[in-house]
Amino acid sequence: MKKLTWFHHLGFYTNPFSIKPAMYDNELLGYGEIIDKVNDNIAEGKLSLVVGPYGTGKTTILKGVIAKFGGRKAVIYYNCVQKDGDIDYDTLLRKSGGFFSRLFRIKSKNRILLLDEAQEMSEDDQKSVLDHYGDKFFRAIVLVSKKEDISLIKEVKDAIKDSTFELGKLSESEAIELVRRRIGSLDFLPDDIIAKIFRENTNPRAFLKNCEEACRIAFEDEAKGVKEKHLKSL
Amino acid sequence: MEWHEALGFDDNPLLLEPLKTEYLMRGRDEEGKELLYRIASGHMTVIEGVDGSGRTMMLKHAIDNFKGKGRVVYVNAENLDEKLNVADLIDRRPKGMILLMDNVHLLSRENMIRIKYFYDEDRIASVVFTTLDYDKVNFTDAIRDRVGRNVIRLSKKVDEDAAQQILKDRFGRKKPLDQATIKKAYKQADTTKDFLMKVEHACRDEAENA
Repeated sequence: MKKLTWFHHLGFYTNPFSIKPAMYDNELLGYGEIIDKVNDNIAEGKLSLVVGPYGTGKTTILKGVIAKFGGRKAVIYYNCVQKDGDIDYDTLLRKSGGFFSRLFRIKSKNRILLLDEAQEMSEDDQKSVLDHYGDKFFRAIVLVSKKEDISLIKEVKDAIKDSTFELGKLSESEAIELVRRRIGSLDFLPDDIIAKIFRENTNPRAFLKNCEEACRIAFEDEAKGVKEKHLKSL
Repeated sequence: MEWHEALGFDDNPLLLEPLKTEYLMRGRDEEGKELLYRIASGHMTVIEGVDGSGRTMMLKHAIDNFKGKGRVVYVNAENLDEKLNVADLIDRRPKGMILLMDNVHLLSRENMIRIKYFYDEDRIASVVFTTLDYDKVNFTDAIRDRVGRNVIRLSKKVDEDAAQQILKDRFGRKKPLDQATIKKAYKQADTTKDFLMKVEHACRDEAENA
């Protein structure tokens, strides 16, 4: 591929403003306390609920959990949007075991269950997950969802108790730090411009996309750096 | 004798299968540039356009620019078995592949979620979906959020100069039709594909008369 993009010209091999959770899963600015609490809850065998709008880092937190707690052999990740009918936890447990578990239909025990887009869970799904939790098939569970979309039954609410974590907004200084971690001290994108881009849209994913777009526009304008005029179309 | 042989061509120069031909994309400079940038930058991108507008030609353009080392995988959802799990397809590929999913509106929601998972995991570097109408695709909100503004909308047909260039590429120095016939075909055509079909029809008439 020819060097056709602004980031290649600035010395990056890939887009430094990538929105993919896996590429920067050690970089959850402003969420340190939440991550610690979620990890503690898992270690203690509890249920947790992480809520926040799209693009705030929910999936990134789950990727961090997978990495910390021993990969996919110990952790089951399931996106509830893909369910067709009730969630089949027994099949998930059998699949998470090795060859013999699948062959002899043995359900694994003590797995950590991560349920992405948990707003899609039915009442039956919620009751069933608690049953499996009670029977020690799952030793800890993390649900993530958009806050306004989730509706939990009383038993799940009671099990979660005060372990609901809401992903808040980045502060302006955290937003600048996020960009600095990605592009270093590169003065092509100065701090005051980063702050202005952040004020346009404070959602982390949208913010990163806007940083990319601003750099691209400035590069195509053959400017030495991003200026205010390059932010007009964001 | 086939019409194209009667007009002096060994093979049919108006073949309508973009993936099997080596013609350059014409009249989509801006859209093509945008697509290559979105792929190189690791985005999820949607190409929207009616049948015959050149969606698959855009994917061919991507293949030509990123091919090599098994990096680009083209899948037409139209040809997929309903029970196929795209994870099986992706698992066999090296990390960093580019997935070109033609006719995504025919893909199961379950497979869409799998693609999102592999994208988030960075197993897939970039994804390009093509469809007739982006708003009507059964994408999850999470996928729509990732796509964001990365929607490239194709007009029904390329402009007339580009249409003329397409014919020059295909006919070479030969001129089987007069300009008036070509202009009429362009004017009557609804899409780029329709234009080529109308030109072929005119060529057939020409061959019969000859």
